[in-house]
Amino acid sequence: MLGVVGRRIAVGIPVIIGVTAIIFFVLRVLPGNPVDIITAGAPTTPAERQDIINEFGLNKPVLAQFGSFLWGALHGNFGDSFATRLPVMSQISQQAMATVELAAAAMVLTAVLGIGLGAVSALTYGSWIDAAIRAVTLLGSSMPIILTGPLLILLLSFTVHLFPATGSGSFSQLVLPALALALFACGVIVRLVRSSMLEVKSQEFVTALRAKGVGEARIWLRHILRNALVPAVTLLGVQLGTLLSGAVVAETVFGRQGLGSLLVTGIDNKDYPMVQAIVLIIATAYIVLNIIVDVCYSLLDPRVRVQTAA
Amino acid sequence: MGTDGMDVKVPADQVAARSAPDAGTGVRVLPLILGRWGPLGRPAVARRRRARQASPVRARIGLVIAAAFLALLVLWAIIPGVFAGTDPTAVNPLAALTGPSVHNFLGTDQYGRSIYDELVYGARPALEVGVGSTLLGGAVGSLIGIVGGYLGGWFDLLIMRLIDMLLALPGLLLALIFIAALPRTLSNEIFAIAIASVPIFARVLRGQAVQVRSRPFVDAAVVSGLRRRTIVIRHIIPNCVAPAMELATVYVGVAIVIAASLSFLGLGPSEVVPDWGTLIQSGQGYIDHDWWISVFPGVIVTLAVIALSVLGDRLRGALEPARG
Repeated sequence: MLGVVGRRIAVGIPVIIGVTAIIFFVLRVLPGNPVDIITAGAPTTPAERQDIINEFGLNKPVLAQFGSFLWGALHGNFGDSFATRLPVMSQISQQAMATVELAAAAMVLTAVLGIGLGAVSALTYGSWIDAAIRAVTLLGSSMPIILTGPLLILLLSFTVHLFPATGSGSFSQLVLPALALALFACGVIVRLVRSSMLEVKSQEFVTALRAKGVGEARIWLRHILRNALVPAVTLLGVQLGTLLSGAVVAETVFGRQGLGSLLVTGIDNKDYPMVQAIVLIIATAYIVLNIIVDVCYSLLDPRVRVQTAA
Repeated sequence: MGTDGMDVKVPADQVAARSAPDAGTGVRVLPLILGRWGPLGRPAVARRRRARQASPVRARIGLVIAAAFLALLVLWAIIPGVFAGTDPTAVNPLAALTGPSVHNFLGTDQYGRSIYDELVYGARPALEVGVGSTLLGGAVGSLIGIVGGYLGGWFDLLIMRLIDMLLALPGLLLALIFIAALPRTLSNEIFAIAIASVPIFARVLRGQAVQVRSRPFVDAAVVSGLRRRTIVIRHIIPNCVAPAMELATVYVGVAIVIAASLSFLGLGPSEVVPDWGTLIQSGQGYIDHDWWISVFPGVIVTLAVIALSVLGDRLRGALEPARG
């Protein structure tokens, strides 16, 4: 068990460092002169420019800059914003909670909808309920958030006054964005749960259970659904990436605060320290959460433990 | 894929490997990478096959509708003047915010421009981004994947670690880094979205190349003394065309969605007018009464995504009869 955790972490660390390097070098090498961006085109004296170069450490070799960026990032210090000249981290920590809330709510909703609808679909295999669930989830996962969002606002906020259209802070404001993300992400899980339940259903051990006289409810819940959950958990981890990048869009659609809207503003202002920090934080979260998913997975399925130990 | 035990998605491959006795093709990684493209997953493949046998007529109707819709979009992109008025940007304040009617059957926006005209003229930039970024990213990614998968060794290892790093950035974010770094033009947007597709193509095609390499006819070619380059060109690449085409077809839809989302966020190319994503964004402020501004462009994007995934799905069956 510990071996699985250790191996995943050992693999995760170089990936995170590599991702950091990609983000750093793309944003440091490609754009124009950072000093021009910081001064935003305002007229400056050479002395002022030199001050800015010193303040942001731009006179050091690029590799040294990367080193200090990496070292700072390890300590939660991502440098100063080009736009506000304040530490990036203080702005991020103010906004991060809103994004965590949204991603967590969307994740829970995706799991509940995905597994629930998938199970119902498998139980009613071939009926109109099954067909309806499949049609709706296929549509949901084909619709971009920029359509799902406005549609949900139109239907559940303006037509039926259930939830507020925009804003962040309260629980009721969380529902629509989380639902928009979940509708988008759950389709693939519904299909996977459905098809693996149907696959497990026809295996011999299920016949054996029936022959033993085990009740139908118990067979479906304890044996078929449980076996079908194993691949679904992995896919849930993969869908996290969809949810995290979807959250960037959803925050703008629903006028929420959070890392996504901070990122979009950062890109608009060419505030590279801000962009670097947010992309790195989201990527790290994605990698770490996937490690956790992998560990959960080996808890759920003893066969994986045996395989990886061998 | 079971041998590259170095990345966060390995257990996913193991799932596929266990539930499928004949697993080993990288193609099954596709639904795991793209997440949402579930219909292409392995269990779904079996189901699809059954469905196809049960009702070939129904499946064919779906394909015909999808192809017809895509053909219409292509025509919109090539000769928009035939389908719509000559100037989609002409402002007509008197007709602002009118609902779908005989004159403007999809309604008008806040400047009185016909939504239908804007949709028709928006097809060209949308398809340019969709097809352009897919061709660029698909070609580079496929080549990297095929060469890595066939050669193996340190080159493969190096490439795959790099790909893992790129895959750790969810697709839109990877594009966003480049969008942030480059001026907002259509060609830069194509480049950014192409980069986001490279790791996906590389990973899928590497899997396919590894699998093809292990087939007996490749051994035969090696034994008969063919050069490595000849083997790759004559034997490996032709056998990788089907999954590459399938992925490319589906990715055109993904790219169109990413481009529309970028425009929605205000990060799209500034010179593109009209633009589907911008239209959805501008309509959001009017969604309570004048819903058609956002909804119709959104529906077009959705239909394009569905049509492309139907087409990709069938394309694979057609290109690889032994499998389909």
